[in-house]
Amino acid sequence: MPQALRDKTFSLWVKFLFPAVVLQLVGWYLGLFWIGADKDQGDVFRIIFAHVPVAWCAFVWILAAAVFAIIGFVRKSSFEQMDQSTHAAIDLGTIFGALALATGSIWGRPTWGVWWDWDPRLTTTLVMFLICCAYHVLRSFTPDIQARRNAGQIVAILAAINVPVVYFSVNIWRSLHQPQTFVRKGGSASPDIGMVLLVNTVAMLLLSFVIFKIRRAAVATEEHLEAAREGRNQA
Amino acid sequence: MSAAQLWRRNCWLVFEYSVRSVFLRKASWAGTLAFAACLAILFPFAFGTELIQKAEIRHGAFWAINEFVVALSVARLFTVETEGGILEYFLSTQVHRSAVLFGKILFIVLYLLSVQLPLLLMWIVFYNVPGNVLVSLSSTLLPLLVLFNLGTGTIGALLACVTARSTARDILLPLLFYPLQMSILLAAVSLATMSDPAIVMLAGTSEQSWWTMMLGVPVLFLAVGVLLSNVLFQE
Amino acid sequence: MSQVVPSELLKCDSIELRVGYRSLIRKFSFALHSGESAAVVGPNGLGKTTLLRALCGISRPYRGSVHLSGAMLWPEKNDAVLLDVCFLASQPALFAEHSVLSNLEFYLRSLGRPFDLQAVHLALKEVGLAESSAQTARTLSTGQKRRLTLAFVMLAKPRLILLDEPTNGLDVKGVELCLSTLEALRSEGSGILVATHDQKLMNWCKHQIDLKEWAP
Repeated sequence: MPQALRDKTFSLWVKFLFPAVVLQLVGWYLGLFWIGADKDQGDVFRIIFAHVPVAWCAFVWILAAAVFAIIGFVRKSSFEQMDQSTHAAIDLGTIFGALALATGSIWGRPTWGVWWDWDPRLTTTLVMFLICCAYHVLRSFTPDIQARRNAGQIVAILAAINVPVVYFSVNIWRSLHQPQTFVRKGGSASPDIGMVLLVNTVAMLLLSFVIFKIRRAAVATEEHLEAAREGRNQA
Repeated sequence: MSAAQLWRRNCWLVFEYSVRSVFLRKASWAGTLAFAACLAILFPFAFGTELIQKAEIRHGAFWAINEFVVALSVARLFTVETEGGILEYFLSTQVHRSAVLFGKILFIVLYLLSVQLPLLLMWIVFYNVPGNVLVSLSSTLLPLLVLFNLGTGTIGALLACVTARSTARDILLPLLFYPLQMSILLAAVSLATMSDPAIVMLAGTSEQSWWTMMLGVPVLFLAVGVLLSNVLFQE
Repeated sequence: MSQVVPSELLKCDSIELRVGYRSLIRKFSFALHSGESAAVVGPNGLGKTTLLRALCGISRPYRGSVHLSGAMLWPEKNDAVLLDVCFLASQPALFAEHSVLSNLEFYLRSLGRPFDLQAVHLALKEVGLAESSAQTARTLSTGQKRRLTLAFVMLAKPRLILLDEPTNGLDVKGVELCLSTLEALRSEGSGILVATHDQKLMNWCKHQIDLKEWAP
């Protein structure tokens, strides 16, 4: 991507950052002050408006990373661009994965009585998060850019494939050893909660999309810098 | 010669030379077994000699040892070929990449089995596995080991290719390997514990689902390996 | 000698090669027919080895296309390619712990050739390794390893051979042996592409490709 265009993309998406943050703040306001406390959990349940959206974002971006990787392998002409997109998507998957783990754990303490309970969803997020970490280690330890792109794309695909596999296996595992201790309120929740949750999820997805576009431009710029450091004749 | 015949020949060639290399460097096999023995004595020290008599710990320890053995073995999967540059030569003959992958997977399944059989003996002795447990395990253990090796071997072979050009292979391979193969571990441990008469299972345990998992995961990753085989072996 | 109809063994179209982000050569197009020999020349670091590796599918070109015997290798690999092609690297590729015979067996079987022990011993004698057939490849000198690969091309007669510095480590007689082996192959219709600094080998090749012309 030419430098001028990249700058334009960057400043364009930075402008979108503000409305996306405002929408998210509105969502959180609704979740914190508009909705009443839960009968069983009290105010603790409000973390759902942060936890569920970030968890969704984590999985959406891991899936997106794999889709980018597959497109890159199928359409060889777009391999480089798709690799940059995969990189940015995995970055988001890592951050949102970490947030989902943290919020899930914080929520688990008052509801389950423990910080961690090997719940299938949380465990799947943990495993996915670990693969995302491995992706970053892999990138930083593969000096050749071509090999780095190749290996990164393959790991992105493997990470996404692994998500349902881990989810199902942990599900069977948990049902084997002890019944699931915790069932989400989602199904039986009041329509208001459902609505606010939807607003928050949409807001977080939009926000993450804007962050993705900014990060995507940053990844391209980082590579440009790396190329400049390596010297000569960048196309 | 038809393409299919050539594929089979090349697959066999990779397998045969991998086996022959082990025979020429027997120390690598013996070393792996000694490593497994070291692990086998680790658990009694860690959990105490009484606790390891417990059925769950017994089976868990066996499969945990296997995990480490697989990680060690797949890290060396392409060593002989890459050290001598023979892999590059072989790829230059336009060999179908999936033939190399399948040959290596076939090899690792049998190689692991050759380490696991003496390990099994050590396990029986060190962990005082009662006779009735062995009888009820006898029909399950061999298919379980083969499928476990197939699944972990496939994932390991894929990752050995992915990490081939990174400078921190020793960190990266296990880092990617363990999260990707955890469903196989869960399935193997669960199936082994289920066939142990010392453990009373809850009604309606999902033996069927575990076998599906045990079979499905290798098939899934084999399919991914075939689809990505051209990319896996490319710089 | 039978009359050989020249056919296109190798064709690359407007390829660009990169190391990291740096272009080595750009817009390089070239075709090699059966019975032809070409030398890739140029100073160190211009991408001779990289070019050979890309032409046989070990590494990927950044741009452009490569065809082997009419079948595409890059950007889409056509897996139906049954053409026998091989790349002999500057460091002879060997199973270090295996014997000379075992290595030769692998080489021949990799191209689907039969492993005829009598012919193999004859070839080993010709390259001066008759006494070393049971020796471990690790214990061979660089020149001997090179001779081993010469015995292989003598026996296998691949249709397309890419060689990287094939005279490195060879003594005067060895260089002559290398040239005569390649000449025999060429006259039987093989296509030969070498990357070299050796003047003798350069002179022997019909075409010379100076990579400097394609450097950016």
